[in-house]
Amino acid sequence: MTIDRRRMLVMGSAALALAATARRGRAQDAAPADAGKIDLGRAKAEGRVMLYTSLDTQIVDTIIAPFREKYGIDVAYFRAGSAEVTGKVLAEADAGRPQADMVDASDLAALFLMKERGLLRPFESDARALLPASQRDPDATWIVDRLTQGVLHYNVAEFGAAPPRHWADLGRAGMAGRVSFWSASSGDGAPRIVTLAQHFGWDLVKAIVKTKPLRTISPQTMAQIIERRERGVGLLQNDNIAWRSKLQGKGTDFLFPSEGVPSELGACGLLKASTRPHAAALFHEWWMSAGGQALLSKGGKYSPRTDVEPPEGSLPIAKMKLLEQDYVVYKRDRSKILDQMADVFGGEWGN
Amino acid sequence: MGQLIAARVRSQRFGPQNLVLGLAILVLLVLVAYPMLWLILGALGVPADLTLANFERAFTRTQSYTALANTLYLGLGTGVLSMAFGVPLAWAVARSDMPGRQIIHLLVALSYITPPYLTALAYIILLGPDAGLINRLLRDIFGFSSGPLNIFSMNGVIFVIGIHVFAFTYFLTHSALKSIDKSLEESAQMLGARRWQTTLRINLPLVAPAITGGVLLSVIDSLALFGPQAIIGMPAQIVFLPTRIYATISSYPPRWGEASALSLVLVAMTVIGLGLQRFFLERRSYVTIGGKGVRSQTVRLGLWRWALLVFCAGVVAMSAVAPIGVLTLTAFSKDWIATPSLSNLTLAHFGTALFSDQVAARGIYNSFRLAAGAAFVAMAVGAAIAYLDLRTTLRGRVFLDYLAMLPLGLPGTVMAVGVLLAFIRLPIGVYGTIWILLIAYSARFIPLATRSVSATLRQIDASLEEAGRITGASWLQSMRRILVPMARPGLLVAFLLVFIPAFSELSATILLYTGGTETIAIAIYRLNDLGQIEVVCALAVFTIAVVLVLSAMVHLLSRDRTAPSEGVG
Amino acid sequence: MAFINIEGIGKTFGSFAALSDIRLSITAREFVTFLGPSGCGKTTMLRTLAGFITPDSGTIAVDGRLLSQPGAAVPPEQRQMGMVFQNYAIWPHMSVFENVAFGLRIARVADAELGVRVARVLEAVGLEGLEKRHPGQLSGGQQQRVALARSLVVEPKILLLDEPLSNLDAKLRERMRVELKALQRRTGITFIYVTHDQAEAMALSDRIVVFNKGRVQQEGSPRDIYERPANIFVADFMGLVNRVSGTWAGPSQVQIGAHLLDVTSVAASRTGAVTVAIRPEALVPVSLPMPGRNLIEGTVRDSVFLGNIVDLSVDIGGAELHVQADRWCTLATGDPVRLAVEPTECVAMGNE
Repeated sequence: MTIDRRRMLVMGSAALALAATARRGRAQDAAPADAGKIDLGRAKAEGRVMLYTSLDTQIVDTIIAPFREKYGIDVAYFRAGSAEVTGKVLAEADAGRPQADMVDASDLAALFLMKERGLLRPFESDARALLPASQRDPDATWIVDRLTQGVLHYNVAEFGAAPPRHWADLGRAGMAGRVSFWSASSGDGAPRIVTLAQHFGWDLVKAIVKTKPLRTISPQTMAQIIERRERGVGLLQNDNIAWRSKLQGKGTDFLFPSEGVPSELGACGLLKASTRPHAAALFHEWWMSAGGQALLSKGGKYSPRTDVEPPEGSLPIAKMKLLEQDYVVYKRDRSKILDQMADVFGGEWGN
Repeated sequence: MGQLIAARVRSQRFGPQNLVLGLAILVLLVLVAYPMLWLILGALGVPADLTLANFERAFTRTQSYTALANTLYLGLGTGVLSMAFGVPLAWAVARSDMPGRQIIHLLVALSYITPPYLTALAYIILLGPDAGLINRLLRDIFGFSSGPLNIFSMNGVIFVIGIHVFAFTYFLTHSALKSIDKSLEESAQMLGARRWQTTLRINLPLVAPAITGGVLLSVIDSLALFGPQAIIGMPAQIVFLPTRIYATISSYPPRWGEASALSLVLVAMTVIGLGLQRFFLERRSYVTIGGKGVRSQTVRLGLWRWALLVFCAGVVAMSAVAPIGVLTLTAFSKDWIATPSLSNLTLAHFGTALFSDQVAARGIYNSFRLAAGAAFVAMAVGAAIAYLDLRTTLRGRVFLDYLAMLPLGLPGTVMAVGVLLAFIRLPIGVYGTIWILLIAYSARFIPLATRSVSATLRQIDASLEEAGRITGASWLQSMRRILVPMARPGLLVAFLLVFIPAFSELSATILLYTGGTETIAIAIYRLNDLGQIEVVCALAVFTIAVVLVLSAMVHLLSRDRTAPSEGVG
Repeated sequence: MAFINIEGIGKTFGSFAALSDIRLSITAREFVTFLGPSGCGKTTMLRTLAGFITPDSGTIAVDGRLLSQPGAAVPPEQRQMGMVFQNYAIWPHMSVFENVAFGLRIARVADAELGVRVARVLEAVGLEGLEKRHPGQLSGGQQQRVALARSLVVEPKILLLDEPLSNLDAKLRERMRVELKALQRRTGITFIYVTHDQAEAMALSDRIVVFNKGRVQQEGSPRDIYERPANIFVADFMGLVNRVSGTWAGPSQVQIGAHLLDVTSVAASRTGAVTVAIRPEALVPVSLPMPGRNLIEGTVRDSVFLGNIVDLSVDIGGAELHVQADRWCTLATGDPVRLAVEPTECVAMGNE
């Protein structure tokens, strides 16, 4: 039996080329530049919106549901840690196969990078007027959609009447084997730890490292660990996760140490390559609206909008001492910082 | 006249046989060779560059060295564990009069088919340093103040992987021990050897190649098991090569080149391992001297058989009963921290897992269709390659066969990096779709299908097809009406052998999935991220149930297949 | 022009020459046997005829139609041949009826005609009533008949048989031989039969082609080949033979020890060393010399009574001859003996 290999290859490549040309030429609709230019009819025709987000899916689900109800437009999401969400957006852009219509990550530096790469589309949101200038891009490519405070999350039974009250308490001698912190292997937990170190010194962080803290991959798994008393206390827990754990009666409580809590800015933006610009913008506006942000707050998150109440039973932002992260510096030094984290903590930090 | 035949032959060159087989070769090249090429090109910085910088970065960073050292240490540890568990169990089941041998055998099989990342999740519940159920029990009994066992450690990773991979050593040693004819031992005893001398001098050397081969397979497999390395290694702050590769890509911006360079290191390790394994298993041939109708000698242990049973039962309790038990218990519990009781039982998590959670429900659907698709592609390509190898004289068929076996030595993480690099820039849009997963799964599991179909084809004499041809059937007709119907059970086994691992694949999926293409393994991994452990366990129980049912089908089919072969000639 | 023309066929596998320059002409209705030891090329030749193997050189034509040429071959299904395989190759997933009907179904023969033709051929091979059986339920002999029926039902012009009887026990083999021969006479199909069993070949064939090392050693009628082997290989392969070394002493005389034998020669040269082949049954113990026959004197070394014959070992000085005497022979060890043999039974051949 003889096989004409060359002929087979020629035929195969012809088929591939044909498939390729068929794929192209999907023209992009004219995208709306601001909330007033959203065409509802087009939005409905465009169909399902793809959201890339690092927000907890329980909150995402509650925000999507009324939107779907109201407009009949479905929203699917890809959920992972902020760094991974960002990595995915960049990789897909490299591939020329963008999937996301809207991206949301709890790491402003990531949005900076996406903007720098020209992946984000300017869009004037109606919410802009309600946010301080530092929380929205002058070029309107991104807008802050949530604030995450790193709190001290602890198991009530573990400490009884005398829970740790300050960050420095976590580095004390008696804390060996009782502390936990979180970061995905992509380095997600790093920014807030760096903020803490910048304000109170690396020695504080190193003292905590001496207690051999248990690393978890996400705020949610850290909550789990604290609920089970695998560890007694969690460093820099997401406020909403600690809030939910307490609310569900899992035997945990949390506090905002008076010396200051690192605050992380999450932001969202619309992707230039989106093939559903109207539907995505429509969802973006719902996401940023008072109604959408109220649902966020109901899930335990702080909204950047001044007209949205803080989560039930939580301190208003104004009453906390927030330690802000310089995201411009973080973006510039990210690689160096992650190496430093690997040095101090060991393990994988994605660099 | 000569012209006439030449024209006829030329038209055959594009006939169905060459078309079908040519297509299979093309698919194999695209699925396996092309991604491997890109792995190397990617490591060299192509297309942007041609540079050794990626290697330089990969090889000059302590993170990489730590990962490499940890991976080697892990391989060493699991190898030792695999031997310590696999060999005694194999001997006990194959040669002793220990009670419950059948059950032990089945439970080893069960621990083998349970996806190891589920075992890892189970052991976090069981052996978490403070809250782990076993630790709590031990503290209650012995009054330790903390611990005493910590799954979040190198030993923890070695343990969890070890109780999965020891099955390789077990199965190879078991079959080797079963194939030693009684007469070999009897003749030693006739010459005055004592029982233990026979074991040491006769049995051990005879099965040593099988043991070595099994241990090496265990080591190779453990290097590639992303799931437990991530799920237990991450909290333990221990980085292995696959988790390191994952981190270089999942962080931003993704560092493809470095990931490729690291992947090549992993490939080198597994290729060396497979080479050694082949070397040792080739020497195994003399074990089967007894051939068919082997009578093996059962060793009477007296009271010692109970001690042996305790050991064997302990191993399978750790490897199968405890993890699957705790996953099941958690899946049915309202509150997984609470002590088990009837009032704590619920089916709600299955409702969430199978219907209401967006990602989980999509994951189940995607896993079924991906596994079915990959199983079909791998079976078809595997069948064509096996056919080319066994039934034709095509030049280069040995190379094709080798290419079809190559993915066996490629960890899922590496396969994913290769596939990503290869298809990310192609104008055909497979990246970010379910197709890229189909490509990766098909490529990964082609060896399983090829080997399985090859075994089936060896049992079907070529003359059966030739008889069809000479009776007037074209190649396609003889395939359709003779070979395929006869090979159908074997093809189905090949299909299932791919379907089973594809259904729960994690290590390649984690790098290739996107919104909408989540699989069941991704749902489990991500929901675990989100702390929804009960739903994770419900999904885990569902996965194990599916895998178990399909494995039982494979078992039944393979047994049937050997029975009515007399007529085959 | 002959029915089948095989012209200079050659085939190598790697460095192994399986067939070298095979030339044969076969007439219609002939029963031809390819005979030789395993690996001699006979099966390769048969499979080349069937179209499973494409030759490297040479051509095959049947009835004036070119079927094989270097690097190209008409596929088996277009050759209108039938083939019976050594292992019968009965399809285990089909009933006897479906096995036999297969070729007709492929040819899209209408159901009514198909039924009639299958029934007829099953009757011809003695399988009536077993239509619904599955191959696993058949004996070896019955499977053999299914294989025959399956090949015959499509009415091929040529039937190729690859050691079809080798898997049967001795008695059944004898019976099938007779049936095969009768079948061939009745149907008038050209049979090309491959075997390594020389007795089978002689019993069945109009013509035998002896193969060795990929070459045709000799072709001819069974008697020709038995009585006048072309070389030592053929002589040896066709049955027991005494191979005695000697030297040429005249144009048709060979000196063996003290004896001078008149021989028939197939050797190329008539000088120097030579081997003489003598069948053991051609050597007859006699009391008086017989005119026109060679006479060899010797001593009985051993004598074994085998029932139908007596096996003698005779030392003739420098050589030992194996003699098959009739059963009335009473010679014992140590007895002097005179052996008579026709010059035509002493075939001188080269030492190759």
